[in-house]
Amino acid sequence: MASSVTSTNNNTKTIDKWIDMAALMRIKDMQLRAKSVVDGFHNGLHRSPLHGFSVEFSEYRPYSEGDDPRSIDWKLFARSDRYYLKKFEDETNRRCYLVVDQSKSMEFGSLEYKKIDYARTLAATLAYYLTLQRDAVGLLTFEADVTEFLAARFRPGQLKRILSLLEKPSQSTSTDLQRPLAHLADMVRQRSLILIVSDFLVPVESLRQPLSYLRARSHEVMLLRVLDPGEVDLGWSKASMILDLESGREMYVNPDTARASYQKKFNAHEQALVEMCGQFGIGWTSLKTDESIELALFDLLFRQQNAGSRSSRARSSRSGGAVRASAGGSR
Amino acid sequence: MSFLSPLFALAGLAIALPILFHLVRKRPKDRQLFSSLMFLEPAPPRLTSQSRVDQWLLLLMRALALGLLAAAFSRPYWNVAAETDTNSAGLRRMILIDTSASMQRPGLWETAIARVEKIVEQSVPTDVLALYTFDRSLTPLVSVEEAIGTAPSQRQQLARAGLKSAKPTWMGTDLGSALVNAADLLQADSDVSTDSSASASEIVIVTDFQNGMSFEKLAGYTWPSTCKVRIERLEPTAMGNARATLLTSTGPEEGLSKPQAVPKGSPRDEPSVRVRVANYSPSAQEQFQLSWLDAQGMSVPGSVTKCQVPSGSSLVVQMPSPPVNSQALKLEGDRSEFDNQFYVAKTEPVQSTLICLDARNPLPEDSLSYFLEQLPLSSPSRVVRYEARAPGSDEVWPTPSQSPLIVASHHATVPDLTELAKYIELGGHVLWVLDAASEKLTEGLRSLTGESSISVSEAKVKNYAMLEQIDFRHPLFADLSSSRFNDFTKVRFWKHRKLELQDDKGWQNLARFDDGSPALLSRAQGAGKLWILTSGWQPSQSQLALSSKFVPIIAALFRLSAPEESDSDKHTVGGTLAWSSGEKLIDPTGVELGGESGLLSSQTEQPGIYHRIDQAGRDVRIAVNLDDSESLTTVADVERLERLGVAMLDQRPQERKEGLQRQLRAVELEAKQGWWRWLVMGVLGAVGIESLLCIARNRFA
Repeated sequence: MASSVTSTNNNTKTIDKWIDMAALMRIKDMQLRAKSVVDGFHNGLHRSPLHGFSVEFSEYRPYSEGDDPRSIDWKLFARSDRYYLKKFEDETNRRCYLVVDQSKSMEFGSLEYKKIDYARTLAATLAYYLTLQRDAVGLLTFEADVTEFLAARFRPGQLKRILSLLEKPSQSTSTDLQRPLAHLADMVRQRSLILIVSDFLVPVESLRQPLSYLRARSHEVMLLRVLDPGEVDLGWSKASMILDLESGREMYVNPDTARASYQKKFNAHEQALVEMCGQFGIGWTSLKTDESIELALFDLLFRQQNAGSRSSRARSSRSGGAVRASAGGSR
Repeated sequence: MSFLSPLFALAGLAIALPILFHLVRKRPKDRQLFSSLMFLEPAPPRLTSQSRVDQWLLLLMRALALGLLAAAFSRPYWNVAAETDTNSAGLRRMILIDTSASMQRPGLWETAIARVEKIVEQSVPTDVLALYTFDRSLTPLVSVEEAIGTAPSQRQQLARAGLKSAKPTWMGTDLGSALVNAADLLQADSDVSTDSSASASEIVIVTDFQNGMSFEKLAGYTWPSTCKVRIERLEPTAMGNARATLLTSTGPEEGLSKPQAVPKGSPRDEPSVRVRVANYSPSAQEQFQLSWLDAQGMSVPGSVTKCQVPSGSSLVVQMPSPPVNSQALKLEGDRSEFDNQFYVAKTEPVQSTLICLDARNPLPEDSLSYFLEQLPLSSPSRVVRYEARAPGSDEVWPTPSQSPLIVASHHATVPDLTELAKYIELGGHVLWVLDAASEKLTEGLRSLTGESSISVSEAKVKNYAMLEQIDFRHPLFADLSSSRFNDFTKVRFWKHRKLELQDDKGWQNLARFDDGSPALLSRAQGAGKLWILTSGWQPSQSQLALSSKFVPIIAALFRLSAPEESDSDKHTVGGTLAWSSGEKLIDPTGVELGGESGLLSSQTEQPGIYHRIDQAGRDVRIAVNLDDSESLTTVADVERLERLGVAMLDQRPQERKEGLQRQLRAVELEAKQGWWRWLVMGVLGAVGIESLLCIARNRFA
């Protein structure tokens, strides 16, 4: 999974050629912003090798009485003189929930925009993209507790509602992932894809219980971590008083002396997060705010593809095929 | 310049704090927002690498405020020659030096002299320094009057000169008497010399303050409140003391004197004496050795007895009886040797004769002498020989010292009576037993007493007569005064004589018969005494000789006629020894006491064997020992004096008192100068300027 993080960093330069995030974030209309990303993604997608997955062949099954004769593969009958039914993956409308962290720590930003702006754009992009796929999309925003919740629907105006909720200014308090996720698990009974957009600057152990609970409810979970480049490499050079956005605590920090220790702890924390995701079969994507949002779409597509193959494999295993365990989604 | 509380000056080190704070790099003003501090560690603020102070004036004001504050708390003052009146008024100081026998312990006297010299040296010239020694009594070396009469500059010199003549004696210690006398002397001085510069009086007692001191005199004495007592207690070099005392059979400790240790190898039938060995705590010695010393001070062979006495206890030891030539019991093993010899005067018993002037009777029991010669009158110190003498005998009449008592009967002849009268005049005692009445007897009695009115006649006795009105207070009957022995009803008299005295002046009637006539009379004549018993003790006359009263009465009569040397071992140093004219008393050093002064008594001044030599050259040895209380060397409680009402002076060490005095002087000086107030004002000024500077700086900034 660590390799996926590395690959993200490697791909950054390539993606940067396609989309200028600073220019994108200057677009005030969030729908337009999302549309720009998704369109660009689609344009790029045509050139990509990942096509033809939407209606996927699943299996052949011998015909038995009572089966719909329309499903018989006549070409195979012509070749083998036997009736086989050709089964395809059903194209279903999936439920997808976007969980967006709007806590105080997301207010940080060393670039022209803050992490929260990036996270909102990312959420809007994903919502737009999923709506285009005719998936039901819902939204949950949270700080210390749930601030907004919109159930997943596929109906006209749903995207607008989502975007308006995302544009709503937040109260900006401390982060608490436990209660929002528990709330979500209670509210969402049906199996859904849950995309959590946050900086995850909380102790790893506090995430373990709610995420495992979500997984236990058969939800597909994907963590989209949004980080400012300044958070990764302590992006200031002068010793100064550091004010914690969430707790308000002050600390005198000399970055020259503190950088090594900070990065060591930061990497250990991220490593622990990745390991936890692998353990629970949770998708993981880490995005820096100077990286393109399309990467998240790539991850999503990749995960959907994996999820599709996994479900077809599961069905074949139920019909006597081999079962292969799948790790958590990764780009 | 000095400081009253110099420790507060250490607070001046706090000046380093503002300097440090000025050197500390200020925290950066710009704040950096950050998402989370969970991966960050705080860095301590650092000092600037360059010692560069920006705000010199502020720093100066702050340091000045702290420095002045520290200086104010340490209370500075200038050591000006301020006169304090602590020594302006002198003391009437009386130094009492203990010269009792316990001061003979090793090292004590030298310490006492040094201590007195120190006290004299520490005295100011205005002090009236009187110097006395005390043991049984108070002896002046420099009297109070003498000290007052001396110029102040000469008083210390006078005291030092007086101290040279002091030396320890062998007397007991009567501290109570010494203190009472000293207080009276000081009081008298304060009453008389009102112009004396000395205002208060102090008695300094330089003593070992041993437990054997007597405080009795203080019990009824009202101690003057203006007179304070200070004890300068001396520590001997050797702690603890042991004493060996010979117990006598008539001593008060008879009940305690059961032998507890018998020396090995001594046969049980060998005469032995009991010796009490007391080991007073705190003593490191427990093993002791007892021996008899002869006249030359050498140990008598075979008399050594060893014993073990734990510290703080006593033991009664049985040891061989002292040989005839022994003069002391020596205790070895005790480091305090001043009381290690207990002197004993064992002399040859005195030879005495009891003469009975009586005619022989056909029946022996009809004579007086028959019963007298059987009386056990001898004692360890006296051998009594009985001699019956026929009336009218031409034998030489003995002196009273040779024969202290003569018993005469009605057979005595006229020459006998003449000799008896002389004998009585010389101090002899005559018991005339009127065992028959006759004209001749009446004449004889008249000639002997010189009273012509005396008449003797036979009393008419119906059945029997009994004694009454017995004077039990008289020494003759004192032994029989107890209720167990004072029943005389069984002593019946068949016959008795009636003695009629016209003038009973000078006669003492010791007992009467129940018809009222005198039974036993006595009268002093010259140096001697005449006793008259108006009945005989023979069975034909009475039951007296056969009764149990006879022996005690005659023995008491003999004892009265020849008093023994009473308890020759009980003389203590300081007591008085008397001798009669013609005798002389020689002390243990061979010096004749009294000498040509004609005195017939003298106070003993040292322990040892005194010799009283009479005209015949007979040597009577008298043992004089130390007072037992002097051996009680455990330290007495000073509170005993306080309980008796003596006003004690503060016993704190002199150095500490001097320190306190210095401190008081310093407090007084500091209070007069009051520098700290100005320093506090300075602090306030510095703080004010610092505040103004800060305000101005902030405004301009």
